[in-house]
Amino acid sequence: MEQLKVVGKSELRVDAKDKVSGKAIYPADIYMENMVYGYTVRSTMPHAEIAVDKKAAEAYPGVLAVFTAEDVTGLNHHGVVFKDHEVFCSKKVRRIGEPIAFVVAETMTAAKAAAKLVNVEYKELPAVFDPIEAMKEDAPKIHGDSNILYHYKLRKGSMDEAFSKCAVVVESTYETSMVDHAFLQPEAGVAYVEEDGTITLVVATQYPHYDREEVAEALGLPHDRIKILTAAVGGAFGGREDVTVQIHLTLAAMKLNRPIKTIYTREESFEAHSKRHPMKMKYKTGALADGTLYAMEAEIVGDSGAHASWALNVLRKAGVHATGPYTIPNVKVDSYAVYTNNPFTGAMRGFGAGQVPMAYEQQIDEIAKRLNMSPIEIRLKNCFKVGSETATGQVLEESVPLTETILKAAEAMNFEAKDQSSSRKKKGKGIASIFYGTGYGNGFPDVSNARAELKADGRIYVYAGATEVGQGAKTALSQIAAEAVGVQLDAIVFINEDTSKTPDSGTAAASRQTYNTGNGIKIACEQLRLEMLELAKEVLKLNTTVGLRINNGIVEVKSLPGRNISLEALYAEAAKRGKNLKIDRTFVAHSVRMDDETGQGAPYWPYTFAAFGVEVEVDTDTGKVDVLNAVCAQDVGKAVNPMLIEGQIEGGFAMGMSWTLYEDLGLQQGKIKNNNFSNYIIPTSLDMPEIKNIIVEAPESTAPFGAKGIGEPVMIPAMPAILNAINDAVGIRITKLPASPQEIVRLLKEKQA
Amino acid sequence: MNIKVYTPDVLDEAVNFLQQDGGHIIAGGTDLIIELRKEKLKPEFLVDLTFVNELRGILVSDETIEIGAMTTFEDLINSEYIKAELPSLWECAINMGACQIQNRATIGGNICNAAAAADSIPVFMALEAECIIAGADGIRKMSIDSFILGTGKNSLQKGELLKAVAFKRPQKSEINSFAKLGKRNALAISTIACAVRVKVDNRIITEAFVSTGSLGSKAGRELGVEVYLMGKSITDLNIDEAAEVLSAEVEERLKSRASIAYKKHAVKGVFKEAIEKCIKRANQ
Amino acid sequence: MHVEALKEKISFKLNGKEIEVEADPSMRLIDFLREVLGLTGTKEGCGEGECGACTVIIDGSTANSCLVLTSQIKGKELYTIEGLQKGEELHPIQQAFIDAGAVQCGFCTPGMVLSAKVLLDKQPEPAEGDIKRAISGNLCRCTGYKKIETAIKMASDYMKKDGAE
Repeated sequence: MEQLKVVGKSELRVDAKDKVSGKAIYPADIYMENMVYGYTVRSTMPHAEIAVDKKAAEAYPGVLAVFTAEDVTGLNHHGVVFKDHEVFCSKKVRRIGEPIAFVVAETMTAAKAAAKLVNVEYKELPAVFDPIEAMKEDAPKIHGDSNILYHYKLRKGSMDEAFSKCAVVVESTYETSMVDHAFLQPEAGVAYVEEDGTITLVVATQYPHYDREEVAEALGLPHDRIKILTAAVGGAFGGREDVTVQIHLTLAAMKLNRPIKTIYTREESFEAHSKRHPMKMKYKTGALADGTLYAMEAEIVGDSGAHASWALNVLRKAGVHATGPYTIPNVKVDSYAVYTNNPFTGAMRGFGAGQVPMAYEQQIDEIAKRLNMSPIEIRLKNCFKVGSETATGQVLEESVPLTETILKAAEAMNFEAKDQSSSRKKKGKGIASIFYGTGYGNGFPDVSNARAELKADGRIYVYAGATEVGQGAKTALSQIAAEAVGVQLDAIVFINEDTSKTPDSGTAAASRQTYNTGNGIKIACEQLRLEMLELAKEVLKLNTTVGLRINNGIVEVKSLPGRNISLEALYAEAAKRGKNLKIDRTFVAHSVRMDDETGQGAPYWPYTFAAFGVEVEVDTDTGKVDVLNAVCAQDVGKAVNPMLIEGQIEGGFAMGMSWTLYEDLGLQQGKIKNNNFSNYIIPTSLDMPEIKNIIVEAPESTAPFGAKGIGEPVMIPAMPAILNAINDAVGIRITKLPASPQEIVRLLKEKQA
Repeated sequence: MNIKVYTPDVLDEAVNFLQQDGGHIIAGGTDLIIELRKEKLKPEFLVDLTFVNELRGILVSDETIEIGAMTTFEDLINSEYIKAELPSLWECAINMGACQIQNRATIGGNICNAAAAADSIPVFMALEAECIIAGADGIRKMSIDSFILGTGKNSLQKGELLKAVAFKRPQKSEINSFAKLGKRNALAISTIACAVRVKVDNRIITEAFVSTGSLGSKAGRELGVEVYLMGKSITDLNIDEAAEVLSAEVEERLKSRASIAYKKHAVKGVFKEAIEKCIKRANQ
Repeated sequence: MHVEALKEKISFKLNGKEIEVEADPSMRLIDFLREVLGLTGTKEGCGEGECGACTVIIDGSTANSCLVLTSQIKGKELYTIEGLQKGEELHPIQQAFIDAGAVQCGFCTPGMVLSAKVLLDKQPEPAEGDIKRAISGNLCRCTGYKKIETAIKMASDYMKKDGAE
């Protein structure tokens, strides 16, 4: 392979200049003439029948309209998998925070004041907040006849006598917590009607094309009447997958024919978007005397809250990843998604694969301890290698550098060296290794469309609906395009902000953009290069394209650089011939649907691996945990942009650490008590450890230049590594998140007793 | 927010505005503006003390220290005197919120809001500070302990404002310190705060002042542990035993609260950190 | 009820220029900057001074503009992110943020840059702990702060070089 020129370099972000200068436009930054403001009335009860009277609000000075269910012009629903959200609740509310009305007024102050006059009469219904309770037949039903909306089964080998053959069996129950994405930019948006009747919606979203479908269906509009412009997105992490402001704003703009804006407060943002699925996980793992993992049984119950959102996919991903990155011959996993009257849960970085390591990584450490093995040794013995078969029967044929990540992490943190502190603050070290399957999975068409076009200015315009949510998609995908065409990075113009111009490239989630859309862009750009060279051959009167190269905006004969044509001129030649140098390509990731009864199949591809090690210090009086050091060894396939990857790893670690130690919604009867940043705690600069990044490359042959997605895997090992380090420091096992000072003190006392 | 705002330049003018009904003082504003935005407070007018210069500053005289109510936490952090002689106050200031808050929040605001977790109050209690109150009838003084009535409640009467806090200048024989436990290392509301001040004569503690915050509806002195500390040698102190005394005292006071199972344990760590700093300073 | 806004003349220095504007003195400074003056580089992330996205510089110190009333800035010297660059030329801190990879979603960036500016104005060669403290009032959910800290160190070098020239 020729040496790569753009891919693999820490190119500077293409969107950074606007962001450092304050010029980047987030949705709240848009002001238009004649603009009106909308404010959402939300349910205050977790489960109730409602009757809405909006007359008083409509009569409030400055109010233009109060929209409720009766005003929705299409199907009053939306939802990424099941359409089980109402745009506005019609008869019943299923959670606190569900939209009931949208008050539009000349000013935000008037809209908020009038919102208080929307009279909602609640007839309270019995509610259920514990998913285990909700599974029972006599539990109050949220939607339809059963609260169990999904059951995934994984069966491998035989469980008969599997555990009896084991020398060690560990068994416990673990509970992860419901947490918020806490992206810095609260939801906002603007909608307006253009002169030709198109309704334009400016919003921060992860998937503009899907939003357009949701809006179209809810309002009964054809797709081409709606245009979604993606503004700068102030963080997403899965929390901008489900619709929030989109339908409300479009409806109001359409009905009132005036530009309309809404901005959520932080408190409202907490109520408006999805959360991470909390999971209750009953786990049993057994190993043979030599440390070989032999059997695992797991039952996982995920709380979906009041709506399905991505619950099926999340609990499926949890089930598939339940074994961890280890070969285990006998496996039985059942995972369930269950409706409750809690806030709804959906996509969040890790997506089910992030919860299960709390169980499998702590159990493998426990097994090692009982067999007197080191945590490193037991992982190396059992971890996936090239040729390993996962619990779903999928053979990992290439790019499995897990052993290397474990070894490098252990070495960099000097894992075996122990601190023998005797003070009330105890130090400990922990390691965790994980895997993560990219993409939608399970045979679902995982499609990325992309277009590459040579334009009059001699530059390559790349069109893809892949959103820049801060992860660096615009930069990394531009690098892939530049490499594939054979031009410099600044010759690429990347357009991803406008659904009327860009093809659908799927969602900016599931760690899929680099792999999926990267592939779509790569094949489009390679074809464009071929056609450009073909035309250059014709214009330059050559007998072949062999020996041609693109150098600084000029196509030239390598051995005779004087024989050349600039890309501008090439465009003009194409135009003269009535030829378009415009290529559309589609990439579909491979994924084989799993069997409904056994879960056997090849659900995801590719898998990405990681091993993180951490050192913590635990104050045995206050229970406060400080993470002192972290070593993050991350498989990336091939690093498209090492600096962007490091940024992802550090941010991923921070998010994983925050989930483990701090974050707590204070959920009580479906109500989020900690709904702002003074009580919903995320780390500051003073809470972060030193982080050493180790990028491990093992190129994947089906990936663009070998690159795999890393957005999610970079956060997953943080939590289990910290929990294992806490155990090493003070000998307690955390079975419920967060590992708060209160919980640590409680467990320390329990241990003493 | 459509509220009339008065911006007096001198104290008398400020006091005059406050004689009308329905007004509220704004000092730094770091707590008040949140209340206004959420409409938890709807005053008819505000008296903004930003420009009353005589309320801002640290006055060090031979006998006393007087800190104006509009003195910011940043002013305390920047004061060489405070850093050297009153580490308890300096540590409290630098651990309060983060820079943006320290730059705006004032001592007067922190005291008058009387939050159970207000960081400066236990420090001033350990210093036996006095609140100097200005009103239409002139000045009156009261101890900070009596000034704070409970969570969110202070002793200001209508038409009055807090002008300053004052306390005796620490003598050479005094050592003081502060420690706080929060949910994170910056931008943290105190879960527990502890201020310690001891007078030491020939290594023996002759007087002890220990106060805590966030352990009840208002900050307060912890007399049991103060008694325990008296007469003990600062260099041979049994810290664990002292911490147990404090823990038992806190448990007795808060036994009906749900948080006590944790706090009675955690207070030991916070106290130990504070007293360890004192010991370190005694050894310097 | 519609009440005619209480307005008065507010004069202060903004991004190096003396200005006088009619405004409601009880308006939050962030609203005044964004809604009245159209300076949208100042972001609102929480409305209660926890996130620092709305950081501005008042008389050489950082402040959360969501916790300042417009009345409080009379006669003061104010800087927002828009005041940092000279024409198209970025301030060295802004350039360092780009070069170090300190920007992801960008929502915290203007506030971070201003916190860094106050630090470097006061301490041109800050220690690591000073840097961490200076940005501890600015939450970032994307970066884990490491590249931001690197950027500030880098900016310190850039500014030293600029000063030497």
